[in-house]
Amino acid sequence: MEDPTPFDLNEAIRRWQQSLGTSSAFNSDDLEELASHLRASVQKLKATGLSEEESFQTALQRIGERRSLEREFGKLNPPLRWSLPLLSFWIVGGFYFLLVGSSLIFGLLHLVQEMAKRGFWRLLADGADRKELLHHLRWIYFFNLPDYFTPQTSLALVLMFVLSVRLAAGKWTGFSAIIRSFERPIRAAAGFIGIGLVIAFLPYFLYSLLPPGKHALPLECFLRDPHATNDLSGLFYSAFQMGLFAPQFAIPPAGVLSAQATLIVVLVLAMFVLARRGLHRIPLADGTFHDRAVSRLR
Amino acid sequence: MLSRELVAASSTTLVLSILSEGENYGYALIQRVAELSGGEVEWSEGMLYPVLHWMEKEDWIKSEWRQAESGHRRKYYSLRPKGRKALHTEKEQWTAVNNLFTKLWKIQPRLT
Repeated sequence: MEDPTPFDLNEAIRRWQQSLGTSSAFNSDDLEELASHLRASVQKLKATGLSEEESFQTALQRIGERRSLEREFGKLNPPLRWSLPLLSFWIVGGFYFLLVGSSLIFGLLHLVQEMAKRGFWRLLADGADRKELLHHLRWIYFFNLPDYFTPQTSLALVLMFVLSVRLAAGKWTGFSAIIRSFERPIRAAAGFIGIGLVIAFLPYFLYSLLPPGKHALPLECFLRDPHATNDLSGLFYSAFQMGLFAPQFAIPPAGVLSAQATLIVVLVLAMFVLARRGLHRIPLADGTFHDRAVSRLR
Repeated sequence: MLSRELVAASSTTLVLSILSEGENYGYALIQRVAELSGGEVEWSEGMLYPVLHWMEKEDWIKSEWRQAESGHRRKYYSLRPKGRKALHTEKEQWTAVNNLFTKLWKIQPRLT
C-alpha cells in the first residue's frame, strides 16, 4: 500500500529537532548541527539506493538514541536545576526589584502630586522650584530606599545577594545559570514577583501571628514605624496596608490571616510548578504533547 | 570492533589528527574514521558532537558556520595552537603505549 502523503525530509528533521528541543541538554546550535549531520547522512545513504524515508530512518539509527544523545550533550549543557544559590539570587533580586520598583512608583506619584499642587510649568520655570524638584528626586533615591531597611537587614540582604550570585555563577562556567534562568521569562517573572512578595511580607505575616502587646521582636527590625514619619516609606507602607497584606500590630482578623497564608502558599506552589515546567506545549511526532519549556531553542 | 572505552579514549586524538590535515565538519570526520579503520572503529555518530564541543571549550579547536552547496549551514572545525600542542602530547602517549605492546607481544616489524 502506498503512503498517501509523500515523505518530507525537512519536515521529518524539523519534528525530530522539536522532540529533542524539549530537553535543555541541546541548544539551538546543537540542533542545527545534528540536523546538518542527518542531511549529510541521508544524502550518502540515498546514493546507495535507499529511498529518502529509509535513508532517514537509517540515519536516525546511526546518530543514536535520543536518551544517550541527551546524556552526552547534557554533560556540556547541564539541565538548569533550581539550586539554592540560584533561587536565592531570584529571591533577593525580586525583593530589591519590588523595593526599588515600588519606591520609585510611589516616589514619582508623590512628585507628580507635588507638581500638580504647585503647577507643573511654574516648577520648571522657577529656579528655586527647580532646585526643590532635584531635591525631591534625590530624596527618592537616597532617602526613601534606606528608610525601608535598617542597616542590619540591608547588609544581610546584600551579603546574601553577593553570595548567591557568586555561587550560582560559579557552579557552572560563567554566569550561565543565571543567564539561562532569564531565558524563561514567565518563570523569571514569577520568581521576581512571587518570591519577592513572599520575602517582603513574610516578616509582617510572622509578626501578625504574635499576640498583641509588647514583643521581643520590634517591627522596626523590618520597617520603620510608618506613623512616626510622614515620608515616602510611610506612603509605601500604607499603600500595602490597603492591599491584601495588611500588617497589623494586633492579630488581624481570621479572614485576613487565612488570605495571607493562602496567597503565600499559592505563590510558593506556583513557583515550584513553574520551575518544573514552562508554558510551552510541544507537539511530538506521535501526536502527543510535551509540556516543557524549550529552554534554549531560539 | 573497538570497545566503548577505547573509542572514548581515542576519540579526541582521532579528531585532532584528522583536523591536523585541514578543517572539516562532523559528518566528514566520522566518514574519514570509518574509511581509515575499515569499519573497525565505529562511532555512535551523535556522540561525536559533545566531544567536539568539549574540545572547543578547551580551546583546542574552533568552529565556524558556513553555507554548504545545498543551502543549509554546516559547522566546520579547525585546529587551534593549543590543539596542536595537545595532539603532540597525545601522539607521544599513544606511541609509548604502542611501543610497550609491540615489545610485550614481540610483534615483528613488518614490511608491507
